[in-house]
Amino acid sequence: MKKLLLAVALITLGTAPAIAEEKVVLDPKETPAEVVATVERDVVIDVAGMVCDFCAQSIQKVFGKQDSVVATSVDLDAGQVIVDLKDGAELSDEKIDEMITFSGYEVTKITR
Amino acid sequence: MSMNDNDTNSTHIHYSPTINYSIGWRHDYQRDTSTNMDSIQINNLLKRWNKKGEQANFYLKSGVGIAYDDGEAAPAAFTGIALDWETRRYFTSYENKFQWTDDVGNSFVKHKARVGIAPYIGNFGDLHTWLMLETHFDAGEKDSFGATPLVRFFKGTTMVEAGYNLDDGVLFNFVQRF
Repeated sequence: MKKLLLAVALITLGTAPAIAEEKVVLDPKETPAEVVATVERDVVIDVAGMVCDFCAQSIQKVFGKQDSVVATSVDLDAGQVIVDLKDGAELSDEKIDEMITFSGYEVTKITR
Repeated sequence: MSMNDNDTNSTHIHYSPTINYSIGWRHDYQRDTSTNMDSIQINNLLKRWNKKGEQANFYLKSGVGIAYDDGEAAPAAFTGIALDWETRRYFTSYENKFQWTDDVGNSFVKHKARVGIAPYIGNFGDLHTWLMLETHFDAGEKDSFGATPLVRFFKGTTMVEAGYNLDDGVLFNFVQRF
């Protein structure tokens, strides 16, 4: 029994560092909207006219050029764009409205 | 983009500095007259309507260039409007094109209309599928009418359309955004 307990202890000690070192790294470009929403949800933008995935690609492109933006997700079901900002970074409502308009859509609401 | 319909093969490469217009080069090959045309095309978005769950657009598309065949070349020009309305489930569009060529090939007026339905609603990043019916009416020498059922797929920045009509043959369109 002692040998068994010793073996279990050794296995546990041997694998603990490996488990502790495992990190879940989210690729912002590949992260679905719902996952981003649970991690960090800095700005939620309700957008009118956003019905086509093919056309809404421009939104990710436009927001992706901003230094303050970590990730942008588009949720066509909700009609929302979710923008994850860098810690401490600012992105004004006016700038958001300008970028959504430039992409061809209209902002109806911004929630922070 | 590459568009291949009942009587024309075309390639259009354009750049949109803003959503309001694009400028680019267009090549058309009219199969029935074996006529080529190279042109500079400008598309203007005259009006866009953004509503919750729907969008509509009104475009003016125009170009000037040169038509040529068998060593002959002549000036050519075209213009037309395009209207579309879509939700995530339904799509409808209409466009026309008035093309004038001097001596080379034929001048013509074309009308096209489409209706479409998405059999399922995909979210951003999914593969999207549309079932569509395109009708066309070519006024002028041919005065022909046709209807082509087609399927449209798009994912990300790539769109492909394929259809077939017993009278007009294969329709194949490809659009890549950069």
